[in-house]
Amino acid sequence: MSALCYESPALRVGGFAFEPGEVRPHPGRVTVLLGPNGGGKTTALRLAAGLAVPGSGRVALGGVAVHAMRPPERARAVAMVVQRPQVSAPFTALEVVALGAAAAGAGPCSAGEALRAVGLSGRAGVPFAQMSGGEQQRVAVARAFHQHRPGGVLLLDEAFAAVDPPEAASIVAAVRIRAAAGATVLVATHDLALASALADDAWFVAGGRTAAFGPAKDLLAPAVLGAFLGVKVTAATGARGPVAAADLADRLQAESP
Amino acid sequence: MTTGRAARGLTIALVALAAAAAVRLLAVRTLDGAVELGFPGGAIGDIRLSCVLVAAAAGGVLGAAGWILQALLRNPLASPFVLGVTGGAGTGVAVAAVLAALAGAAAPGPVAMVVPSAIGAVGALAVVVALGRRNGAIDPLGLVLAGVIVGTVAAGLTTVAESLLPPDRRGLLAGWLFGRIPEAPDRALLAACAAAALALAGAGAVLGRRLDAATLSDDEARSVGINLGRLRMSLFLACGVATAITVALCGPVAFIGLVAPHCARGLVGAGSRAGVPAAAACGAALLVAADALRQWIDLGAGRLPLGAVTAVLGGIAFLVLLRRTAAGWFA
Repeated sequence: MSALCYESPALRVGGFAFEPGEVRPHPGRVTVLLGPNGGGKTTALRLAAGLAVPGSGRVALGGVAVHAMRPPERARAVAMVVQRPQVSAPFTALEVVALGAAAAGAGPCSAGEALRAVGLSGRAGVPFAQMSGGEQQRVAVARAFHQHRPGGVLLLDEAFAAVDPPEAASIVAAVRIRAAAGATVLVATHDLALASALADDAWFVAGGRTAAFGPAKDLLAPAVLGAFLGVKVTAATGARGPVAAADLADRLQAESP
Repeated sequence: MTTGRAARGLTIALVALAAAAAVRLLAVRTLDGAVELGFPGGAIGDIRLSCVLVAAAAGGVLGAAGWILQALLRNPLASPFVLGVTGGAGTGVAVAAVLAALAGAAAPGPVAMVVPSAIGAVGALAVVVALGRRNGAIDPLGLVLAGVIVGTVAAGLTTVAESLLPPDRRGLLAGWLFGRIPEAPDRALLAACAAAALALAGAGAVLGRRLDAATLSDDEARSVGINLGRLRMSLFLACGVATAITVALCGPVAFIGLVAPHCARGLVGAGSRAGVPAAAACGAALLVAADALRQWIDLGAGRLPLGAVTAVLGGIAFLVLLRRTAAGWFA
């Protein structure tokens, strides 16, 4: 397995500058990216996928700049789920999953197994365009699983935003299995409960900069997380440890007319 | 499971092509309204045979190019005609004819037409794709609108060029500009067109999986390992040049490139590996059938021009597709 490293990449898009400094997400662990909208979470993932080319610095995988890798080679090393998956042809769910192998060949997880991992094996023949937003996100996750090789990088950008809790739980389990097998996993999310369930490490990104990077047990503590997000955060005790949640009561009271 | 369906669908398309060819070769309505069966042989037989070959080759190119453009542009309404590519090719040819007349040279022959036709076709496609992008992504509706505008401007420019021609050179261009099957085609051009149809169908079969992945959003397509820029550029060029060859051969034939891919999708499914060859076969069958149909319609002023048949039938199909597929394609 080769390590992913943000070697001070700098990217300017319009008036926005993304300069996270040096960050090394750990192989075999799930890193959850948290931060306000427009803070740079998606940009961080696009850089790791080689979809954006930094003006200076680089994101390297095993010592090679990701954006300079040949596309099929990169696809074997890095699989990504985007926020809003789109397919502009009348493919079925299973056919969309199989597209994960279009240029780079398939990883060890077959298209059918990948669809089962996201709980959609019963919907394999349904046209993608007729599925709900949550189902489409799960199909995109399955496509990334089909493309993924053990020890590779897995990037999920708000991939659970429209997914119901039971299905989200089974996907979390499937993601954790891949991390345990050596994958470097980066997940951008707004869902604090999901972050608590998934994170080994947390990466706070705001204003295009790294506010903090470290073990989830430290950064997801209510006081630390609350100070970063600017809301009151409470924690319930879950089976895997504390489960964070934003307590918006103060805010609601302050902003009520 | 899909290979069985693909083989079955391709067979059906080829049988349809053979049936249309048989009708065109063997059954004709004579000028006095009688139906004549059998293959005449001699010069008339040669004419019928070359008409079938031309229509099959041109229809094959337009069908395959239509599928490829629909996949690359993520748009079920894309086709060489709708995107102004055939119109641009026509303008290229008309402008070349004017330049030749101004220079005192002979009217360009069919093979010499390919170059200006290709310049016009690729130029029109470049303009349409540039205009149809918004924020760096292809906007399906904007693309079709840009194609309609470019096609209309191209038609206007062609008319201007035509009126600049000396009167004795206008006739040839006028018949050609509405799409027609030449009864005595240039052999080299016909061979080039047939080769272009086979090449596009072959490219589709080889690059089919990449073409399928190109229907994902830009970021997703690239993240599964597609070199989108290179795939788009090479296939746009191939479609532009292939379309230009058909325009030099038959003029701008409307809507075959739009309808054939949808017929093919019904037969073999959404995958491009079987889809592009099937679209080529469907396009060939449709154009041969349209030419055969034309032989049977006489409204009192001789047989209808081919372009009128494909434009009327294809236009209706376009409207049906607009209502039906626009809803199902865009998630």
